[in-house]
Amino acid sequence: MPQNAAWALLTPNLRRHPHKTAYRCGDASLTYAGLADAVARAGARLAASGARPGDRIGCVLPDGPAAAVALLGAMWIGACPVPLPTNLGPEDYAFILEDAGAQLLVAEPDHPAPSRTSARLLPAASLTDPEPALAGDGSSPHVPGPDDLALMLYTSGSTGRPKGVPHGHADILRPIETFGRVLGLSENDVLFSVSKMSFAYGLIASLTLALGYGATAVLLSDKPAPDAVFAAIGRFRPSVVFAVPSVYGLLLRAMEPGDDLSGVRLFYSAGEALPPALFAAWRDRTGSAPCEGIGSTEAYNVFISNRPGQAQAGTTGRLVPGYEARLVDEAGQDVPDGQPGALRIRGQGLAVEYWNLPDKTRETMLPGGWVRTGDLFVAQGGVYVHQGRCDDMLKVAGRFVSPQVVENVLLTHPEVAECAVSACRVDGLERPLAVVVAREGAATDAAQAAALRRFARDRLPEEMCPARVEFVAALPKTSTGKIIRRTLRRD
Amino acid sequence: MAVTKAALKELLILAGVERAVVDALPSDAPMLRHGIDSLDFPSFIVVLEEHFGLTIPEAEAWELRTLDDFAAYLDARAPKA
Repeated sequence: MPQNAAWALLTPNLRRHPHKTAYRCGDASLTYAGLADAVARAGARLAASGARPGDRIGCVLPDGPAAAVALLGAMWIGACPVPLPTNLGPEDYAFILEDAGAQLLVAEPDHPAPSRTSARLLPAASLTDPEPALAGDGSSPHVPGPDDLALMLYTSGSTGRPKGVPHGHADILRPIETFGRVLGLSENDVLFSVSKMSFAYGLIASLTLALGYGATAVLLSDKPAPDAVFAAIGRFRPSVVFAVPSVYGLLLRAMEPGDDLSGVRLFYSAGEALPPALFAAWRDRTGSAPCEGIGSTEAYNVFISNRPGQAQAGTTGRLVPGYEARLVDEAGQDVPDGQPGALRIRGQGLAVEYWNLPDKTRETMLPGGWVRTGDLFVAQGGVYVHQGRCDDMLKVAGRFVSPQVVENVLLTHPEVAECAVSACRVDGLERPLAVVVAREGAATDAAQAAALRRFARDRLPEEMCPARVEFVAALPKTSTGKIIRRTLRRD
Repeated sequence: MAVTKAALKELLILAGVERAVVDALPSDAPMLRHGIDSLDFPSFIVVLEEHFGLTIPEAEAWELRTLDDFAAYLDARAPKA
């Protein structure tokens, strides 16, 4: 039987250092003893609100101690928290909460997330109310069965329909002995993930690794603008920073002489490929080469990674112990060293299904425990180099972007007749490129391109907004009329 | 002809930055510390490259942080501004 993940993350710290700070966020902080108390309280409150083992519970909270408490509180009673970003549109919240079958939603009372859902709102503050009507004994955790869920994260699908990725309790603990070992973490570390806890990368760092090593985690509740990130680093002096390449690019361009990064021993990069020029510029400016790896929501882990102090520009690194990898051609046959192939991985802790999507599950989670990642790699002597995606999906600022979703929005513009979205590179980083056939008589100049970018910006999340808009007379199509997006890439 | 900061500011507006932000932008401080955000900056690079008909190599791009940086870079390289 697996351990309850929340119990396993909290209990050793209660014995070892109950008064140590687990979380810092602005002026707020929480010790391990305070965290454990709040988690038991939150669990009891959720149970009193009707949550039962196995129930999915939406959590729409900015990064902060309250988010950690809500997620762990739900896990504590055997429920399955579903952490979601705070900036989704109302339709996305409605779709996801309905898909997950979530009856309860933990959010700030004024957040728009609950507006179109049937899920009942539990204000975040009520979870740690000092005098809740407790139902049952919050001090002992639910003992999970082998198939019980501990967490479900949503990831963008190619059609724009987000996919739920459920994980069991053992999966949540898996990065501690694998990815954490590669990074050489210890309880002396102070971890700061600029990536939010609603994404696997941020949650692995700020929840699993931080608590699993008995370290301290720094959380940033605001949007990670350079000012806020530098202020948090200067104030809390983290030893390990987790961010996506786009954020390292922003920080590099925004850095001023007073910004002190000297306490950081390791800058970790994942979520999208790190361009070699950015690697070099960051190393030259800070004296510390960023260490790159790749993971996934399906793995709830990083499975290929450079090793701290030995990071090579332009490579994703070597397999993390605990994982096997295959690079295969279109027929599923292994490719030799030096040849590009589609990456499949195998190892403990991988999700075994997508929530309510049996076809997508069969397509991705293969017999024998292998999981398709959708990434193309070349391997040479055990070192992996990313070559892009096998499909049309883009990876922008660490988030998947479905071309179809962006196209659907641009097609609602009255002067767009047809469009296709693919990828271009700006400063070496992948960004959406919109290739547009304008309606007859419509302008196709720089001002019109700017107008379409603004149109998208008003309707789409940041990472989906085209950085470049090009006008063409016709789009490349197959004989059956399907747009060939691949040929539009500008790499 | 020197690339003027006024011309660069017009390109920032074309890239989608609000005029009030552009008007208040100091020329010698990182733009990302003065209201230009993570969405504006890549758009600005694209607009700039299209306008001047050049591609900024990655190795040099990360050194371009202020309006003055961009003006000096373009003065040295733009074929015909």
